[in-house]
Amino acid sequence: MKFLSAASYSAYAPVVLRVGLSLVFLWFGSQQLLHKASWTSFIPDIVVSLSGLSAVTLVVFNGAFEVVFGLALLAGFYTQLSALILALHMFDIAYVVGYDAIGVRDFGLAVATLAIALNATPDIWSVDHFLASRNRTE
Amino acid sequence: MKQKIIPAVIFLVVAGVVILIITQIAKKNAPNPTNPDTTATATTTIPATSFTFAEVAKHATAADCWTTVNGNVYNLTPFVSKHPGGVGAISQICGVDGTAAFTDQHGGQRKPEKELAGLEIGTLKK
Repeated sequence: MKFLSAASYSAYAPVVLRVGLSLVFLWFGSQQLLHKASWTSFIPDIVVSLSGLSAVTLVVFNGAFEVVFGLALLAGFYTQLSALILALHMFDIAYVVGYDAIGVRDFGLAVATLAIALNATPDIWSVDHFLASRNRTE
Repeated sequence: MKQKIIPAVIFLVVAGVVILIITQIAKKNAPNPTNPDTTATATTTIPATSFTFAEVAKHATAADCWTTVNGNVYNLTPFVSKHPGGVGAISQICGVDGTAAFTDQHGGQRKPEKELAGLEIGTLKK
């Protein structure tokens, strides 16, 4: 049963983690771009007053940020850097949200994203892997 | 080392520029805050009245979701699909008293309370 041998599917573990998490970021990012008004209530007042920007602008910026780095993560382009930025972003959100169901969920997403950032070997379906193997052959 | 850092910096700069462009484009399409959106209009045009708990209990699905919090009745229907915590979490309080669930999750948080206030349609008959 080669399919069930560890070696046959372990290479896909980072792919599943990367693609799965990138879809989460893309969903949340696109929702913030499409339904801005529904997300403004989650921007802390202090962030609005310190930034000098409107809550809608901050929602849109946050949505664009998650979409852009979510796409980079989905493609596996600068995977470690993209994952690290998204992980720090999620840790910040979890900290701001605090200790409740949403905060704990976001902390879990942050840790999972950090796991991608810590993986120095590009997974087999990533652009990074493709570029690295192309450079080796040249 | 330099060979790795420069492309990474370029990547970050390009990503930043794309984020700013998306922000500018999306901001142009944002609703004018001085004009109430359709949701606000829909909820504020419903006359304030009082409801029995049996009436509230009839609206117990995500597609038709009413709840009560601290003796007030709220029509959550337009907000269910937009709830950042997911449809599953908010639909648990459809048709039932949501006081405990809302207080546990959002008690003391000004913004969710403000959002909830915008969905008020009346009070609960005693």
